[in-house]
Amino acid sequence: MHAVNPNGRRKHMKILVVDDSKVMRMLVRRALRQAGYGEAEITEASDGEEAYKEAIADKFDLVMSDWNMPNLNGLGLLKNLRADGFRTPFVFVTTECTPEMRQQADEAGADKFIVKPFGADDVRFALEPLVGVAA
Amino acid sequence: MTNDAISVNELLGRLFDKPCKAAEKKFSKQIFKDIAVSGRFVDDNDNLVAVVSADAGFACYTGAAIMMLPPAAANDAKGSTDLPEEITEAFGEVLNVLSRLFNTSDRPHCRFTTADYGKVPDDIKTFIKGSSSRTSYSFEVGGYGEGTLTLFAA
Repeated sequence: MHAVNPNGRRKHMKILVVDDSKVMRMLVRRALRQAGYGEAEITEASDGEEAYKEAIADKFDLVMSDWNMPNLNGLGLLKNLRADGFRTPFVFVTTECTPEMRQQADEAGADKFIVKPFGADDVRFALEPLVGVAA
Repeated sequence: MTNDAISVNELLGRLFDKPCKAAEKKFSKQIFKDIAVSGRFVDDNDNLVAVVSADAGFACYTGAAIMMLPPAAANDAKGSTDLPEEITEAFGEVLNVLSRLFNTSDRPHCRFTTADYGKVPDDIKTFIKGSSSRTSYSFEVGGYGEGTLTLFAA
């Protein structure tokens, strides 16, 4: 784990951002920066398969993933990671969030949903309980 | 369909770090002439259930605002025959977010799939002509400019 200051602020974080849209990955990066997580080291993946490879090869403090993606969708990614014992906080960043999706996500071990379009406040509100206040 | 200007403004306003203003406007019968982009929205069986059309202004100003391109670049794109890839990629996210307007409790679930740029495909024309609901908005992105979008539902 990365060190956490006494005030709950993270010293350094590694975040995996997963979305098949390059534009959306950029928007997530921007929102993270605006929410105070600008110093986090961010790795991008364009689908669940690529993200899974990244996640098992490196240690991330947080995964932020789209739901609908080619090859392996966000739910499949989450299930694979949990099946392998990864307990990394997992946040879905999606356009839609139906009760069915929420139930599936909860059962698979998701931590939060951020619904698009989102702002820095939404990101801060979702992430602070999971990874602490931004450094 | 959640088709009021306030919903459009709230939804799209969050995409841009700019003040935005949406206002309902009269539907133009000349619409095919002005369409620069038409976005397809399908249900869970891949049937076309909604279309969003945009003029070049709406596509370029919203796309450029997302990418934080200068307004001059947006105006250049608006005047060009083919919209730059940077704009079309960003505009795809605008259309993706607009799917939320169609996903109301009284309608089947739908999602954005693809966008057609330039000439309106025949199947989209047919859909638009037969649509039961159509609402046009003028939409202004602060610092960029104004364009028009129209929502069509089956």
